[in-house]
Amino acid sequence: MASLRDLHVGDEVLAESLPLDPALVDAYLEAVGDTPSMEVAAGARPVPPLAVVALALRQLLGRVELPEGTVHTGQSLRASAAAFVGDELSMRWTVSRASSRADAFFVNLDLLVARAQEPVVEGRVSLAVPGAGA
Amino acid sequence: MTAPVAGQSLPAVERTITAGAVRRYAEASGDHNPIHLDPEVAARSPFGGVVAHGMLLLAYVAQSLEDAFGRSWLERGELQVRFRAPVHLGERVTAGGRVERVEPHPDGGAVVRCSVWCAADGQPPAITGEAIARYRER
Repeated sequence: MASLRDLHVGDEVLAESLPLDPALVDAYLEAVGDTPSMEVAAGARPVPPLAVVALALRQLLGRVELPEGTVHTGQSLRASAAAFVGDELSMRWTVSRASSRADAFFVNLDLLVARAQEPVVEGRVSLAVPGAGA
Repeated sequence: MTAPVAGQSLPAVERTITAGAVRRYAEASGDHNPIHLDPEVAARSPFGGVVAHGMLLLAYVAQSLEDAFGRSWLERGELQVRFRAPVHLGERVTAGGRVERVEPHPDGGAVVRCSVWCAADGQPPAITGEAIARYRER
């Protein structure tokens, strides 16, 4: 498993499918107390864009080790299309920042979630590892 | 939501951060960092105790935006935030926001720029940021 400290700008950390499995989506929505009720497409249950990011992060955490003390310092997302329960999307995580300062190591991980090459959700996770600076 | 105007508040989402809520989020998200789950480890951390996942708090902000903008949030929402302070178990948080600017969109409707936040009662904001949503008359 790669460590956050081993990452460099431009690295592709993970590129694989992102299935919006009903059990995982329901567990997420129950955990955050969300019940999106609006109809976006007939018979399809929408998955909020932050849930898509959270489920993509879940898969990333299985591949990248976060050193003890790692802090999530920032988050962005941009939705380009609705996602639905049962969708089989693709995701790609890349490193857009990996830099040290005296007191910490900073990493930005950029996410692209797509359906047949068309963006669905893009995002950026900013992490800091205190005490791991230059 | 009626046609948004600058200064309008977004729907508030209020939650109390319980150990159960944090545990359920850890299971759902796969984030089992001990600062969210282990009182002994968390007590030795700079936070001094168990804290909620930032992404759990952000989900409450997203719910406020979902409540305000509905389908258009799911299809075209944008959000950018900083996690600024921890929220400990037992604290009650409110997530919400305010419409800062409403601009016409060339394709119709409006682009709505909002400030957003999440804060525990009596504490400085744990999350601050900006959201952009589309609004269309139904």
